[in-house]
Amino acid sequence: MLWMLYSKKSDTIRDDPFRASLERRTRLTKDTRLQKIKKDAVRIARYRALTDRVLDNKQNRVYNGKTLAQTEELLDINPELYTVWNYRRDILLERFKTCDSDAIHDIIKNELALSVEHLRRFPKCYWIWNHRKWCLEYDPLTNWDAEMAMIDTFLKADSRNYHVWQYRRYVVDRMKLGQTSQEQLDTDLQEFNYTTKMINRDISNYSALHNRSRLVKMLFENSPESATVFHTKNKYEFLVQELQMVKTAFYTDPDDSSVWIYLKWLLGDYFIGSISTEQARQVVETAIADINELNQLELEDNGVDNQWCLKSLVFLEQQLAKATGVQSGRKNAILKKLIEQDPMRIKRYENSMD
Amino acid sequence: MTSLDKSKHVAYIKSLDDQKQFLEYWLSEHLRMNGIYWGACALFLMRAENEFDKKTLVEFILNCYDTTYGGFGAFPKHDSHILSTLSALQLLKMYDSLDVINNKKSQILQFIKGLQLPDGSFQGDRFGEVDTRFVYTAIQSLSILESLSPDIVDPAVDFILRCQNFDGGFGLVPGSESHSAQIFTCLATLAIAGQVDKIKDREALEWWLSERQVENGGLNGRPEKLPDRSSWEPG
Repeated sequence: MLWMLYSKKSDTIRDDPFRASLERRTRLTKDTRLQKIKKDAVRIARYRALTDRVLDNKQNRVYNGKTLAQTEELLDINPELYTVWNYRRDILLERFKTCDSDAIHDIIKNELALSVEHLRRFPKCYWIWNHRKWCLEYDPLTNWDAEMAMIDTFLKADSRNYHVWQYRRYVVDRMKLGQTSQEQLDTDLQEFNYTTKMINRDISNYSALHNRSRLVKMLFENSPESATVFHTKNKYEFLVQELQMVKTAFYTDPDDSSVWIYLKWLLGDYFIGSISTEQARQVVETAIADINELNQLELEDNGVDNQWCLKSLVFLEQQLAKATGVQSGRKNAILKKLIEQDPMRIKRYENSMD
Repeated sequence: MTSLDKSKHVAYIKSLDDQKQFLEYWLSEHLRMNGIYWGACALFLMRAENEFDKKTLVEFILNCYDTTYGGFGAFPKHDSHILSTLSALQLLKMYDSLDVINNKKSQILQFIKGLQLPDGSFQGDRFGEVDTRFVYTAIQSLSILESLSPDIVDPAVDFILRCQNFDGGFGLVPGSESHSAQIFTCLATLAIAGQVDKIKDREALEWWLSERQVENGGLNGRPEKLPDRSSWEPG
């Protein structure tokens, strides 16, 4: 399972001068190599001495302020040392035994502040995010607004960071545990509105579209009372609004796959299966007309069909046939174009032929 | 067609353990067991597995055994984790040496099975991080130890199926975004369990996966991300 560790490492190196040379190592000249060996010797001695000290203390179960500080020093150099995070947590657990809620909260506040510092340098390090979640599990007095603000800051820095989105969902779920069912619906709705905000900022934010898809399902399932598009459970009205947004998006950037994948879901079985046949025929035909028009423009501009238009048209022709029971006969011709233009996926297109 | 310079590849892999004068060697202790596994895989592909000294390898693995929690760490004195435990078991299996852990097998099984949570998922160690990677690593480990049983596998499969998304792909836990690496671990779990047929919306999954190859031939892990040279990692 090295994939998850290696490229993560390359992400962190850029931000850390202490490790800056790793990526360049293969290109070192003989001289710089020798210089590096000399320089590294000192650092290795320091690092190994510290590691040995910490791991020995760990083995001897020395839990005190000094050993806690040593874990901090070591994790500051190498936050990937999961064993040292474990040791740190064992020291903290020991300390919690003699603390009341306020004291535990104060300790955790300090841990959270420390982890923000680490995350600024290593925003994709699994172990740091995990430590933060662990802290929240033990915090009797979590300030959820502060957590949400922290998440917002990190999503502003990288709106696709997988870990931050995951952490956001975790925090929201934890928050909802303490809420009434009406408050929970409001939270889901706020989260839905947040995805709208993120998508308006950057339509290519697939992470936001993903989160939107699950919130939409949750809201249709749980929200009979609130006065929103979800309350009637009428998927048609929502679908028409959403398709309008998607249309604007694919006209803005016809090569952005995020929107096309989202469109595929909107016109997939989840929606099409729960509206009337006439409504289904109408939304799919409208989408086909819109995409054909866009593809025409692309063809005039670039001299070739837009592949995402073609791929989507294949899917929509299938959905139309499913909804109406009638084959339009257009699908195979589109597939033939794709076979020519996108030979990497030739098998997929061949298998889709009627 | 250019040919594979096998001897250079073999020499490179062997040289990875010969970097002790560089700081990076020491900063990557936490992934040493996994690194050796990947190196060994490459050697096996080139039918050069004997380039690793089996005796030294087995010794290293046994030195990484963690008597406190019953699994393997990534390096001597490091804690048991399901990731390094799988790599250790894979290496022992590949080098036909599983018998060296006969006297530890029950503790190892206890460690792995003890990581399963009531919803069928697995945590990576005792600190609660849950991830479909760990479900796969646990199920794969139990498979190597020939200790799979329906009371463990079926809840794990149910958990995996709950991780499928609107686009057909799978994420880290239920509700998290699809990622090629997570899809690998989910499909592998289902394959080991013999339950791949339980996947819903297979067409969407195949479609999404086939779109991960981008124009220059490289693969990305998620839509609209750059192709990743080392492969598929959530980030």
